[in-house]
Amino acid sequence: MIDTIYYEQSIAKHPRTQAIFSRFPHAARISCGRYGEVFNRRAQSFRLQKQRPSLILAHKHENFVLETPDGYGIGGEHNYYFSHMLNCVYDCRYCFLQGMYQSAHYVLFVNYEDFADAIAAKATTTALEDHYFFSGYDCDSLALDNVTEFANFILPLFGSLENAWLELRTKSVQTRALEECQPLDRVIVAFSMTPSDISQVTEHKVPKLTQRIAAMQGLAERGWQLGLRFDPLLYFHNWQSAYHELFSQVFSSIQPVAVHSVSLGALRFPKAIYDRIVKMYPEEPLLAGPMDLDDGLKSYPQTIQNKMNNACYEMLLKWIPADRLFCCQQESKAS
Amino acid sequence: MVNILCALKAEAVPVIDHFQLKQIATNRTFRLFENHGIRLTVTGVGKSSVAAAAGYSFARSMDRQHAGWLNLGIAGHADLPLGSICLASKITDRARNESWYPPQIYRWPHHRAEIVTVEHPETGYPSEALYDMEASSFVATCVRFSVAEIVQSVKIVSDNRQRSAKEIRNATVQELVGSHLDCIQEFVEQMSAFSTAEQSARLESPALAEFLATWRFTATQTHQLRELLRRWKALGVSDSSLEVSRTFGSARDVLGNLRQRLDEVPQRVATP
Repeated sequence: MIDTIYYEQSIAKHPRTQAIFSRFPHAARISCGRYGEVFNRRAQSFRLQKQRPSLILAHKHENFVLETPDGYGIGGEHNYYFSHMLNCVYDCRYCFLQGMYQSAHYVLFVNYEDFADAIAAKATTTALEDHYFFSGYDCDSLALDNVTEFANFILPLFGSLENAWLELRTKSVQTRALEECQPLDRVIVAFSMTPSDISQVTEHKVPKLTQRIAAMQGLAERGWQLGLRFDPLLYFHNWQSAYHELFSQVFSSIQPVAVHSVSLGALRFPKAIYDRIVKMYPEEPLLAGPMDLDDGLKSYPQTIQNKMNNACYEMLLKWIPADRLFCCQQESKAS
Repeated sequence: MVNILCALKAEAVPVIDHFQLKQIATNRTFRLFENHGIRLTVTGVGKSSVAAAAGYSFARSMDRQHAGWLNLGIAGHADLPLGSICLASKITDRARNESWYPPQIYRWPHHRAEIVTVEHPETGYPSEALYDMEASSFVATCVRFSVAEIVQSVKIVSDNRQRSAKEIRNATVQELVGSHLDCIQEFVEQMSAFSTAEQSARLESPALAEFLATWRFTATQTHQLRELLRRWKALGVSDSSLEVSRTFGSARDVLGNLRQRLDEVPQRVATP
């Protein structure tokens, strides 16, 4: 699966670097000074690299924890994200990462301890208020966890910080680390989903919806809190019945009591990112629907967004109370 | 299209014969050979020669953006056996102390190694790298013409600590390259497929030129037309975009009609 590993010379002897080398003994190892010499250099093709991405092991020096963009959250006031990895093993045609980076290589920052310190520092600034930390913004939180073992490292921290919440966002069924420890009160395992037929044609390499639902069910039975992320909502001719079927399918296996929160939001991109993705995949039907530009964001026309958000919101109320439903959009009745 | 750049005629001859390349240009500096989507240029030795040759070859095929560029030749290595074929995983210019990392997206069951490009033949082989005199200049130049994934360097070990570079003869070079032609062909085919994929993603709608010839579009309207034709194709609209536009007199009306028709098309998220 990984046949080339780049590594920064300064971390060649780091225990995590060595562990990953051992895990992929046949992979070519190529040293570099800083990961930016390999990742995101000009004139790279994300689309070609995605056919055979390499792994880059690096040391992150700053900006371990950042504030989330507006409208991103599940009810808390202090929302942050962090990325121990850049890029994702999956290949979802709507993913903003393909327009954000020119490289499809996976970057893994091995200095996990610095992330933990930064998270603890943020949480202790206002010890009486809750702080939400989102993992899975620049990567899938769990998809490579069998290699990175990041969940194993970070979970105990959230067991010890009394005002810090962690959301692990994923499309993976790689949940072993969670199955092997006791559920934590302030950790949410959030699964992103689109209707099954749509997933099969737009979310390449992603486990089947039924497998993800089974993984969620397993975690719920062990006592983990789940997040359901219907974001992005995709617009197509029979979207309403497809989403109804999706919600029914999910809640036929998952008890609403196991669900911490549900969020939804129509497909949207910063304009520059949208333009790069369209240039990369000009013949992709998903990117050929009606899109408007509003305040720098490319998304469906407001009427379509409102219709989708409101309809899905109403459908979800059948299973989930309004105080656990969040719409990641600013100008919608549902929000 | 894949452009192969060889420093020496002796490196080029087996490739020219294998791919049945025909000479297409001769001038005082460079000889070019071409056949069926492969072009080979004999560049001469050294960094400035390969940069000039790459520029020359590119200038002769400006319509072929996103072509593949392959630097093929011999190199020295401290201890790899003579005749070992290697794909460059890293290319370092010793004089500039700068490195490039050709993306490793190919099936390549042979050695992969760093190339250190030097100004003068390296006989001491101070590190576990290949030593050549062109690769850094080749990659720095050719990434201006294409994407990094299809700018690659393949070297065959011609000298090492047991056998000096001074002993290399033309016949030996031909033999070294000639013994790897199957492997080179397989690699060129992969490059060609990647090049085709990059080019096809950037093809304009064939209807665009006729629209522009039939109606007068401003620059902004041309941009809008391009986008509408892209969507038309992506959504698989069966009607001809040109035919449904024939009755309209102005560019503005043509755009309005295409937009309206697209809004009425059932939206899909994937090709059926």
